[in-house]
Parts: sequence; structure tokens; C-alpha cells
Amino acid sequence: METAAAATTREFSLDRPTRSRTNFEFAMRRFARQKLALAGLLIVLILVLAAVFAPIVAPTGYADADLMSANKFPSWDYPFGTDPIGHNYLSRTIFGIRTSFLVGFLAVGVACLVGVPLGLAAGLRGGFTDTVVLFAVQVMTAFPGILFAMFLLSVVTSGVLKALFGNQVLNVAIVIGVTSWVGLCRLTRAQIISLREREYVTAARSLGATDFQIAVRHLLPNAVPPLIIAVTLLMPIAIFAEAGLSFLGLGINEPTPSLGKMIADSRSSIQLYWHLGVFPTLAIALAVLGFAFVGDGLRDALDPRQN
Amino acid sequence: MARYILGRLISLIFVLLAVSLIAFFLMHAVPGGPFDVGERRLPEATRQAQLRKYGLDQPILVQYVKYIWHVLHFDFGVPFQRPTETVTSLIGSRWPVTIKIGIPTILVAYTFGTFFGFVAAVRQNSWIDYLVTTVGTLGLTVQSWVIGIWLILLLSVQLKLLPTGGWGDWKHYLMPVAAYSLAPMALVARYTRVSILEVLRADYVRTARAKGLGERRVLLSHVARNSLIPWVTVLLPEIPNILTGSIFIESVFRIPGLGGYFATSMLSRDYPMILAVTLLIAVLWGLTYLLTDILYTVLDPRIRLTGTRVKV
Repeated sequence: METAAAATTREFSLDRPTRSRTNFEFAMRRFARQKLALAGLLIVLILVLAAVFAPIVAPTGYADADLMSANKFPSWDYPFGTDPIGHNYLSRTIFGIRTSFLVGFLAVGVACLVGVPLGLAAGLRGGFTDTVVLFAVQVMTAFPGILFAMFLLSVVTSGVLKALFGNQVLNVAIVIGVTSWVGLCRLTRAQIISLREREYVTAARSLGATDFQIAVRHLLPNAVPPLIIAVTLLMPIAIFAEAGLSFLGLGINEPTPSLGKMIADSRSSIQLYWHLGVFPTLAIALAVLGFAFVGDGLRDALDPRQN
Repeated sequence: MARYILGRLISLIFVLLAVSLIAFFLMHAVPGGPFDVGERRLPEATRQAQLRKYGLDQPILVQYVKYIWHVLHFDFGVPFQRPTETVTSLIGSRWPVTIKIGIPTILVAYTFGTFFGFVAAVRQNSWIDYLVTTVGTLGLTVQSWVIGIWLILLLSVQLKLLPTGGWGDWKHYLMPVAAYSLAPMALVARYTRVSILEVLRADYVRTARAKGLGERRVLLSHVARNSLIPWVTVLLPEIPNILTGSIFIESVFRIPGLGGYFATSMLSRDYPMILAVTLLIAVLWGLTYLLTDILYTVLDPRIRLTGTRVKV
């Protein structure tokens, strides 16, 4: 891994005609130089493509079952085998990736929507706002996450709210997002606190900019790099949170498959049919590694001082 | 210092109140009460009698105030799953099992994690560094129960070395501890690696080398000591998590500990048990954070504690 100084020297070597480059271009070049990060990006891209085009890629639909060929081990006809109901396990895995990624992206989105504005407000306003946000953060940290998610999910999926939250995939994503905003909030707050005394903020303020303008135009763009990294690393955590809920029987309803649910369901029959556990676990591990490599690569590319 | 600690304790009390309030209301908002879940479908009259017996027929706010009043007298009520015991005695008999898994887990995770992180940092960008980073990344995100399932498949089903689960002799410890310690171990390794890399570039390390000290001496007495600070601040708070056990580990390996009970309590709406365990986790969490902040000043005298926790 190259240090920032070395990278800069190379960019400005004399035998090249000088051309001004934006910070973004520099970051992309630093990113492209890391093999592990590129490999991660490739994995993530393949999985995302598989997820998006699942109906085309998968040999059968996720609910198509053939009971006559249930519990088959992997073969040419069924590369990943079949499950106890006779689903083609390759199709289940591909659609599982689709569900898990959907949950992951949505959950991270929700976490950003809650955490970033709260962190911004706390960091910028300080005082009472800060106290209230920090209190909420403390309460959320002290509260057992799984309990919060379980109860929230039960509340959301039943009773009055049932009509409002009809889609279980959406429910699970929202609940995971609402449970995992704390890290993003603390990160944003820390960033804003370290940025808010900079000269350009004072300059903007003396020109009469409002708090909102300062936050959105000046502070947020500068706080983005560490947030991108945090978001990349939150994805696999969200994917596994769905798996955890599935383990407790609270995840996504049949017949929609998700990687977490497939692993959880394989528990009972894994002693006989190993393939039911292997393929979803492999897919989830690949996704985790892909996102983590991309996140680490972004950390080095966007924030050269940190490493 | 005393003033600071007092202030923190008071704020902890407010956090606990908020936690109990949220848990209480969320719990009651979940459809289905403790006496109409699953198989225990009781005749309506009996159900009403049960509800009256436990005071569940009263307005929820009254119930909450009463509950807090009892808790202040260390009375956590009676678990609905086992009406002959009290919550305190049930936790008292289950928690030791969880702690017996937790302590070896902490020892394994922190010893090996520190070691791997140290080796990875000293040999930065070598194959061992990449191995530690990759396995660490996986360990941090792949949940313990997935690892547990695979350990059972490999060691119990295929090789028939260890029992698939249960509780008794030393054989029952190995797999749960291995599965459970991977995530904290990865975390410890990751942070140790980063903080040692940082210290390795510090001026006093260069000075120590310039003085002609041997590499071993530099690493042990200059580097290792000073990389302890992130260790305390980031890693100490993991300990209460481990000590209160994992729902997943305990149900995969069928360990009769607190975590498993917590899961069944949640599913069967055992209100007193849920609240007690939640409060227990929150108290442990709060005290560890306070301890962390105090240790922080002891380790780095440049840091002074003033007002509320500013460090993020």
C-alpha cells in the first residue's frame, strides 16, 4: 500500500505534462492501485448484477418447486442441488442474494436518513441538541439490539400498522436501519465537531450563511469520505442482521428466499444435506469480503492521512 | 474526579430509566400477551384471572410505575415461564452458565487477538498480515451461529470428536467458545494492528531505535505499552456483551444459559424476565463505559475528564 506522499510525488513526476486533477480523480487512482479493493469491487459488482437480473440469470423462479426431485445433491441438472421442497437451490441462492442485498441497501439507507441528520444537528448546534442526541445514542447503545429489532418488527408487522407496512422485506430493512443508525450518527457528529471551527466555516458564517446552509453546503461534503467508508462496512452487518432475525424465525416470509433464512433453515437438515448450508454461506461470505475490501480500499483512497 | 463519576452515575440512571421505559412500552405494544401465545391457550376466565394476578389488567402507566417501584426494592417479579421461582433466582441460576462460557471466550479472544494483531502489524503487508486482515474481516461480520453450525457439522457430525451440544463436561465448552470468540478476536486483532502501526511511526520509537536498542526491546517496552490505549477504550466495552451471552450461540449449542432464556422470554412474552435481563445488560454496559473512561485517564495522563463524555 502506498502512502499519500509517495502517491502525490508520482502524480507530479516531471516527465508528464502537468494537468490539474480533482481530488476525486486522485482518489479513484489511489483506489485503482489496490488489487484487493479492485477484487472486492468485482465481487460486489457480480453479486449486484446477479441480484438485479435474478429473474433472467436464475434457471427457474424462486418459488418453482418439483417435489419429485427434492433433496438432490449438486449435479449437472442442479448445480447447487435442491432443497426439501424441491426448489432449484441455485435459483434460491440467486434470489436470496437479491433479497439480502435489497435488505442491506435499504437498511443502510434508513440508517443514514436517521443517523446523519441527527449527527449533523448535534455537532453543529451543540448545547441542548447535542445533549439530547447523545442521550438517545446512549440509550440505543445500552438497549439490546436484537430485542429492539424483534419487538419493533412484531409491532410493525401486525395490528394497525399492518396495512401501512405490507412488504416484509421492507419491514425487515426498516427495522434493521432504525436499530443501526448509532454508529453513523456518532461518526457524523465527530466529523462536524472537528470541521466546524475551520476558517471557511467562519467565513461562510460571517457572510451571513444560516446553520442549514453551512451544514449542507460546507460541512457535509467534507464529512462524506469517512461516511462512505462506514456505509460500505455497514452493508455486510445489515445483511447478517437479517440472517439473525431469520434465525429467530422473524425474518422474511416464505416463499421469498434470503441468504440468512437459507442458512438458518439449513440448520435442521445440514447433517444429511451439506449443500443446503454451503452455498448460501459462501454467497454471504463473498458479499461480506467484497464490501469489506471495497470499504478498506475507499478508506485508503479517500482519506490518505488515516492510514 | 469524584464529581465527574457522580455526574456520570446520575446520567446512567436516566439512561436506565429510558431503557426500561422503551422496553416496557415496546413489549406491551407487541400483539399477543404472555397468556395467549402458542400452546398455552387458556380458557378466557383463567386468562383474566392470570392477568389480574400479575397486575396486567391495570393501565400500562400504572404497571410501569409499580414495576419501577418494585425494582427499586430489588424485586424483579416472577417469571411467567416458571411461576414457582423469582426472576432473581432464575437469573442467579442461569447466568453462571453464561459466564462460564464468557470468561474463556474473553481470554481466548483477547490473547489470540492481541497476538495476531501484533504479528500482523510488525510484519505489515506480508502474507500473514493479509491472512489476519481477511480472516478478521470475515470474523467480524459472519455471525457466530453460522460458524457454530459449521463447527458442529465438521467436528461432531463428520469427525465425531465433540458432542453436538448440551452442557456438562469440558467437551461442551470447546465449540461454543471457538464460535463465540471469533468476532471479538477479530475486533481485537484489527484494533491492535492499527494502533501498533500508529505507534511504530511515533518519534519515540525512532529515538529508541536510534539509541541502538534491540528490536525485541523496542517492540516490547516501547510499542506494546503505548498501543494499550485504544485497546482499553474500544475493547473493554465488548466484555459485557460477551458476559451476558449470545442468544444464538446458546440455542445452537443448547446451553442452558441466560441468552437462551432471553430468547424464549422474548418469544413467550415473559415480561418480568425480559425487563430484568434488559436492565442487567444496560447496567453492565453503563458501568463498563464509566470504567473505560476512568482507565483512559490513568493510561494517558494528558487526558482530563471534564463534564460529559466528549470522546466519540
